[in-house]
Amino acid sequence: MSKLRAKSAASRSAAIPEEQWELPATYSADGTQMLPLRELTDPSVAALSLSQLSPGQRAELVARRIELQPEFEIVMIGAGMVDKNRAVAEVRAQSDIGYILIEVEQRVLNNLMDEVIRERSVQAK
Amino acid sequence: MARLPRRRQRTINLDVTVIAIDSNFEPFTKAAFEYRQKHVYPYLEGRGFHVMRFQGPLARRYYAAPAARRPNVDYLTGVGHGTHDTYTGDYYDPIFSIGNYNQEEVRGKIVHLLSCETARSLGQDFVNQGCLAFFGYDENFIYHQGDSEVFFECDSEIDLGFADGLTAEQVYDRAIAKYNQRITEMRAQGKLYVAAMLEFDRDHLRTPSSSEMWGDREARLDDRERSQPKRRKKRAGSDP
Repeated sequence: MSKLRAKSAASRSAAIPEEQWELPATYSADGTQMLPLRELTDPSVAALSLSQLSPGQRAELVARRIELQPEFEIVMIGAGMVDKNRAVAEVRAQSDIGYILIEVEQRVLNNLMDEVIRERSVQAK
Repeated sequence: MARLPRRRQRTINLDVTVIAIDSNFEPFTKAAFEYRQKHVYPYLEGRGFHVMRFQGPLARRYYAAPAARRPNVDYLTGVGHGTHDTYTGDYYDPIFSIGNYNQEEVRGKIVHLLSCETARSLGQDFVNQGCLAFFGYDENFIYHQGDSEVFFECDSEIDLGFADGLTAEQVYDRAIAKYNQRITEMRAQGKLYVAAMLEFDRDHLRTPSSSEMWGDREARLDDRERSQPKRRKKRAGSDP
């Protein structure tokens, strides 16, 4: 591992699971490609903030995040068990269930960003 | 010698009845039902409430509705499937549906439904018909199967809080505190999705603390001075 990469890994928050750094978390500033959390939190990378995403971009981002996770399941008392395949389909269709999944995923992303900011403020002190 | 007036103490025992209407015909409501059987109803009974259970095949309108109309019923609670205007029981039997229930079933009562969406319309309709306070969700109630008890525990704080004599506002605060405690724990364990799902349920819980559309913040279950001795006003010259 290079010195630079070792330093980068050490500065990452222990509260953020390692796989989350590589999952897509936003789009590039020109909106052409998804960027992982690692790049979203890199100040030198131009990226769209979560609030700048269109509904279509938001749905595709969430669908891709769900696809890339090793396991995914959520139970809804209304809809029953939603496994990975159904979740991806519901999100891409932007159905009622899809919107719930999008909201949950956005909460995960918001919490990840909060954790990054919190860790950075601790390190800055 | 004048006789001193004797003080008499009278105890009025008003049997406060809770109506429990729980579905358990498929795995997702069954998990919640089993949690409530183990943790909620024994607690209510331990606090002196009489719990009438309409569960499983008995969670049908033709059983539950007449019981709800009885005069000593103060609290309705349950888990079941729902939509914005309907709460259902066994195999989706509509228990309460807007325009298809009697005002007497909810008037003067507190209602808590662990169900999807019922806070959107049904809960507000209950309040318009005289329900004191409604607790429910305006979206799907979601949970993670591996941590289901954590979700049911947070929701059950509502029943436990009312059993402890808290006001609707205090019950809400207690439930939110439990949600927040569990969210913090899940984040610390790296269970980010479980934490986010708990946040989702917490933020879609509607109660009188959200708005008067869901009733009175001061509503509580012991308004009728349940099992409390009736005190007479102290009169001059009487014993202290």
